[in-house]
Amino acid sequence: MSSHRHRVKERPQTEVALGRVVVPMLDMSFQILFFFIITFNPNELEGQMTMNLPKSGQAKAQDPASVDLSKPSDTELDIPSDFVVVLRAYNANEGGRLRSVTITIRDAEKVTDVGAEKDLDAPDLKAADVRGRLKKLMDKLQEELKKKYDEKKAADPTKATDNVKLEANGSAKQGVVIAAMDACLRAGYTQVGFAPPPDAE
Amino acid sequence: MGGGGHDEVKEPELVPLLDLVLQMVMFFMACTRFAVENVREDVKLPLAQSAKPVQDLGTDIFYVNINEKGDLLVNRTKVFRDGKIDGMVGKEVDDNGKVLKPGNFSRPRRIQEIKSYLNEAYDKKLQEAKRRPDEPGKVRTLVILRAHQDCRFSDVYEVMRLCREAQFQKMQMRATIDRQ
Repeated sequence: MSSHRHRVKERPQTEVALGRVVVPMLDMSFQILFFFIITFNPNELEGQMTMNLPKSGQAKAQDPASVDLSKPSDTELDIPSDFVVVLRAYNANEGGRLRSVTITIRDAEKVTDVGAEKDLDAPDLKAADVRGRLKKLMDKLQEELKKKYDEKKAADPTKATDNVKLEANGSAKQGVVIAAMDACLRAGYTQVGFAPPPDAE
Repeated sequence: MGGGGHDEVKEPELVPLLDLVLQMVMFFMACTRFAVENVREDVKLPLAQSAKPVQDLGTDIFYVNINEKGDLLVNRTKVFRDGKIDGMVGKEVDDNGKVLKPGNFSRPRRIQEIKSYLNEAYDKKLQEAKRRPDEPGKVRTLVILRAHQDCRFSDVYEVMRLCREAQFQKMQMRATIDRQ
């Protein structure tokens, strides 16, 4: 009887002691959980794009004495490509809104016009409209590149390469250049390289 | 006994709850990126549909962040006290990285600074590569270029060229995945 009473008394005591240990730990765990939830940044939105590095200019000169420092360094790509996508994008002013975009494809034989968008900085034009028109232009570039690739492949399957070179003007914004690079990648060209901007300072 | 049973009902079952909470803590911890100092939030990446989700790239990577003005964003050091390579002549920065005097911009100076920064980074990677047992002395570092969508292409191109000049072989561009 006395032992039974002892057990009844003891059991709630140990449970209360356990609760006292767990509750602060739970509080702390919630604090940590809250911290991780607010700092949680799903980074799946960021994606990678493969590209070729431009070849360094100085390395091309065989003899160090023949390097002429007054000339701009020659920055050809190491991998030869069949086409050069020529992108010209101009802004309303330095760092301002995009005004016009022109895209042509240049290969050994001829220059093909892909399309152009002008007056993109008109005051009544919404940002969404600019994006839409730019997207249409890039889709056209993708189609044109795909056609070119198929033509080359039909003519000589061994000669067709999946390299393309992108030549953009220096004042073009990175966003437009990436959009053109995106069109190249979507058209099936896996190796996109960059030609030096013709207007580089 | 009845009194004991009454006590047990009152006691909340905290242990399974704690288990669950710790599981969630583990999940969010695992999802948190630890190399946060290399990924700058102020670099707004351009959109691209063909950008693929980032795969496991290994540990031998080198981040290059370019902001809207074409400056390189780096970790704050004694040389780059405000964490920027911006080619400002006569810039004054206090110990906390606060800019006291902005200075005047010089493009050749910025190119020179970026060049020496990249060369230094390559040398460091080369020293690491020399101590490595497989393929000693071969730098396999992947340069990850994160450029702001509104920066000039000529600035991005300059950085790409300087990376190549510093002997880096592999490069990758980052963009925001466009799910349209």
